[in-house]
Amino acid sequence: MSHLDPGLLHELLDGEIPSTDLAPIQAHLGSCEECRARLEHERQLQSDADGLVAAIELPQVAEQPLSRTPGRTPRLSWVSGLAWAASLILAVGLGYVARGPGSIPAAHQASMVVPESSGARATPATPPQSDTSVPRQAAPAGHLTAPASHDALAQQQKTDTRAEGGSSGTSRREVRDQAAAKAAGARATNQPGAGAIAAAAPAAGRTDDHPSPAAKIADAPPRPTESVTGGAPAPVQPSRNLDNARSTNALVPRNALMATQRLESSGAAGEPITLSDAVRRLGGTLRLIDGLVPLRLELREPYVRVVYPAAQGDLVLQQQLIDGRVVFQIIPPPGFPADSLARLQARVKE
Amino acid sequence: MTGPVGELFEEYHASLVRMLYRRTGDRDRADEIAQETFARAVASPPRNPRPWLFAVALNLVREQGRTVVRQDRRLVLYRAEQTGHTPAPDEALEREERVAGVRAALDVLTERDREALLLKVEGFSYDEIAATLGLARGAVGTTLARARRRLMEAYRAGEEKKNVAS
Repeated sequence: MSHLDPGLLHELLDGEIPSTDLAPIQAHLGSCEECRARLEHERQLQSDADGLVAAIELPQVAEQPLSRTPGRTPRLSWVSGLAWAASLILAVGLGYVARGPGSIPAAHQASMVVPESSGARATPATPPQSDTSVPRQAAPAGHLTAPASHDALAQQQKTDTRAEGGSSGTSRREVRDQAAAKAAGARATNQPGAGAIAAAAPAAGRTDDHPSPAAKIADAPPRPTESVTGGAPAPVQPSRNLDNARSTNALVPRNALMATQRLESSGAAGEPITLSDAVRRLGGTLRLIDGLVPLRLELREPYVRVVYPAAQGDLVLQQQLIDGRVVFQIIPPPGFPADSLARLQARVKE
Repeated sequence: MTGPVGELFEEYHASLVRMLYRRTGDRDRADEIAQETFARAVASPPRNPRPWLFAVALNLVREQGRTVVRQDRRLVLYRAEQTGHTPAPDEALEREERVAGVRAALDVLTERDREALLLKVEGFSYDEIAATLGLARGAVGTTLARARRRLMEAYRAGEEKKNVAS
């Protein structure tokens, strides 16, 4: 038998030689001193080389589930100016028709996602109205840099629930669940169930009692994608009030109702579509929720839909190219927490 | 996470990002390519997932162009391999220099040799390496032997050059 070549020696060292083929090789090594020496040399080479490559460790990322990636600066463009104008018009319109004695359930509130150039702070879609005892953090923006799973998302929701726990007898989670159940019931009987209507445009205002975004913009660094709720000048009450949830039909403004009906009608599964087709339809970009792994891509004219699995059902990131701009909406499954929805909106990225 | 793609994600995402980071030298880019790879897995679920995922990811890296890749590698050297913990300055410097040396040595390898080695270090079997890179199974041992030898030669040459310079 001739000497063993380096490839064979590495196969041997890597344990890739079938046991049936080992005998002649071992016999040769037993009788050939040169090959034994080469085997030792290659063993050292294997150990050193693999060790060097393994020494390139993956850099750690921030441990918070929602964190910003350093070094990313949002892009500013004239589009953002148009987006501001568009959102202002939309917000004023929605606010005008939404004004009234009742409220819009959380599942029907419109949330607007600020484009990447905005510096506004994110807030949950259903901020507490009178709870000042629990400091409420704005939903962190940026994208998820750690591998995200729905377990992590669920954990985040649990954390939020704990953080929301106030001194009242009924927990906020219970109220929210009841409200969600009511809202789901209303949908079943005639109420379209849109989650968030998120346009790629900044919101013009805020409906909660947080400091004005303008003040924060001045100090805060720009964030990749952020959201503010409502956007209407008239206060839009969240759906903590179960009675209001019951009378949703009468209170939802007509244009918002049409929007939610459109979303509801697009809730059915669409046709499968390839990634390249989806990107082409959206003018070269596809938005995804950063850190989440999509379940499937589908087309439901005129929308491209990215479907994500959620504990409550499918969560859909629906997008459409309008006048050269991608407008997107997140359609959550029934019962999906509104504050988690706000966080997801902040993580929608191209 | 549920469903077959969720299982794939749980099983392979960390390994894929690590390999991509070693390949590109950019953590953000590694994350982005991994995300794109899994998005493609959703569109066409693979039968042999690990080789498929890594092959798609490596194709995406190649598609983005060698120039960009090298620029990014250099960027990483300047970014000093940001990590969560802060070791002592001398320890950190030594580590950074070592990693920079390994990256420079990896740059010397041919694409095929480099990828075979990166996959092996990720625990790929020869069959999986062959499937991922489109190699004959019998060529994997030779490829790895050459990759390891050239890597060590380049690394040692870099170290010697550094010693002479200092």
